[in-house]
Amino acid sequence: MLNLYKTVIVEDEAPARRLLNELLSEHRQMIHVAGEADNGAAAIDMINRTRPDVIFLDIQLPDMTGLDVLKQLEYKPFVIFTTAYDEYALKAFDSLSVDYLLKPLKEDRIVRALSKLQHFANGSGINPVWNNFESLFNGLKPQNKATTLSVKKGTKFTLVQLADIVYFEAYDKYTFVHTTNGQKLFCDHMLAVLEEKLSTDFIRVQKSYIVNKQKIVEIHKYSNNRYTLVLNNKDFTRVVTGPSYLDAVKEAFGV
Amino acid sequence: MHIHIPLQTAVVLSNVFVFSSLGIFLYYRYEILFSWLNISTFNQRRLAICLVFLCFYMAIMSFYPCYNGFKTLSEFFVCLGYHFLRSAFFVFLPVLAIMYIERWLETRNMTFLKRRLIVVLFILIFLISTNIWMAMLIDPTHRVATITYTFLMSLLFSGIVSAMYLNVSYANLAEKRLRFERELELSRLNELKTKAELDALQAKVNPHFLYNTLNSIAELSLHQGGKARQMTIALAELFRYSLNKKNEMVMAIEDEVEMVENYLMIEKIRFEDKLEISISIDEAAKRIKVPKFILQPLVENAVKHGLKEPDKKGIIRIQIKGDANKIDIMIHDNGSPFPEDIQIGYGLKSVMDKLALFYPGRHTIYFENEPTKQVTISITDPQKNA
Repeated sequence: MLNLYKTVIVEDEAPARRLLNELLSEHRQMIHVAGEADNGAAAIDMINRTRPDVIFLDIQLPDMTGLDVLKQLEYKPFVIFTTAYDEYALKAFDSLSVDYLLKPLKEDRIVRALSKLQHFANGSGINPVWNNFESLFNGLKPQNKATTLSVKKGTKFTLVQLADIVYFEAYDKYTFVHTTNGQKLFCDHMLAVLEEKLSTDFIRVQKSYIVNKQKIVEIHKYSNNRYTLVLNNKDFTRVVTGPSYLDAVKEAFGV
Repeated sequence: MHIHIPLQTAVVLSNVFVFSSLGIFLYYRYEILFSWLNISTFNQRRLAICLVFLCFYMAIMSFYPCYNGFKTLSEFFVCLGYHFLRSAFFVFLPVLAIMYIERWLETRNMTFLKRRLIVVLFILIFLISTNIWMAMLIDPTHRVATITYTFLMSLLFSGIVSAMYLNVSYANLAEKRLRFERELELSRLNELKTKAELDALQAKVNPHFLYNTLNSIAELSLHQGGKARQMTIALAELFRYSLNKKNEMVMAIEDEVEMVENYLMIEKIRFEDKLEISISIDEAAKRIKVPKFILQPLVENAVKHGLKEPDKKGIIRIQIKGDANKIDIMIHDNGSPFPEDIQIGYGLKSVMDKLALFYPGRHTIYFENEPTKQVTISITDPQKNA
């Protein structure tokens, strides 16, 4: 009793699409390719429209990742991932999908994936992907830690590595970025916005200052609820912490 | 033979000796001396400087001749007491004021020199005015020195004090700066250097790219043998470049470009003519050496962005202009504009690290969306250490 499964191939490279098509044509009695998409947006549209039983989904698409595609789907089919190389997520894909295929694609892996599909489709009927998708999805998203900050210079902008930034100084609605080599750059964001964006290496110590913790060379007591921070740039800039940031400062520096 | 030293001279000299030693001792030892006091370092310093100055004033007591009319030791101590009281009043106030001013100035971010000059100005004003006040308090019959003389003397004193202040604060700063600069620069450079060397050792080719390419070759080999062959050769060239035995850190720009051409040829086949590429290099720039693998990550980004929008041909333009004095590398793609807060991946980060290592302070990297979307790397004097 063989079912015929309708499928959609989501893959950005034409040769890879052709190869998968060709390999799947060996299993014509079981799988029918109803459509192909070469980017995420088109894939979402096509899957919602054609309602396939299973999709072959590339993790790396030009406009989004395969996971983003899954998140935006209204209709939820079985998923077989295809991926070139993704060391960190391979295990998680395993629990998220029917199966995953590594490129270059191999015939026997496809056979295995299809038999697994059959097993899932005939089995309890619970689609493995959609059980605890949200939590898995968040766990899978690569944690992109910001390492640079973009800074405007006229119509252009340049990148400053966060490790080169000594402190931020509020200036009206904008901010000056002071770097290790003494440059003073203009940044379009307010301190509050930057505070959100920056990593834990940075700490707001005063209404108009955010400093890089790695660039502090000395801490002096200024008064009961204030400290003077000496920063490691050419001028050894001193920043006096604000009384309302006392707790944060104390915690950060253990003073 | 009798050596007759008048009591007055002996007492005055020992007075100078005792108080100046005490002052110097306090200056060097105040941190330890006051450690039990449980007050902030700023207050410790404040107290110490007041005491040092007080000692200074006590030591120069003989310059205020009204106190020198003593005949016996007990008279001397009475004079000393008077002088002490008066000095205390005239020392503590200006010193406290100057230190407050100094602290206030330090929280403003002024240049070193400006800050010090303001402090010196206040030292001059306070010292001269207090000395003149003290002189005027002495009744005219006892007054040996005129006000003009006192003024000149205090100008000299305050000059000495200012010079000491500048010297000490500059020495502190210079020492600190030297120490931290050396340590931090060294460790930073070492870190960067090792990293760059490690990077050079590793195959830089993105594993995604490698396996996707092999997947494409697997397909092409079924029906389009010519293309599969082309792609295999280009891939081999790419790896030869990244895995070369000599492990050179720098390469001529034309080699870098050749490597990028190989890379782009593969991408072109993979995306079946969805890519349009143009490359132009100034003849003078071709032989100039740049760090290896500086071009490819940028081009890879451009390809990724150029192909982001479906149903649109990706256009990549690589332009290298300049000569031995200055090089501009411009890479354009027709994808969506750079976002405001662009976040960089491993490839671009390694390019930035390499530029920072090879051309400290002599390079810029700019992203622009207007008039055309492109990223520009400018290097001045590229041959200095290549």
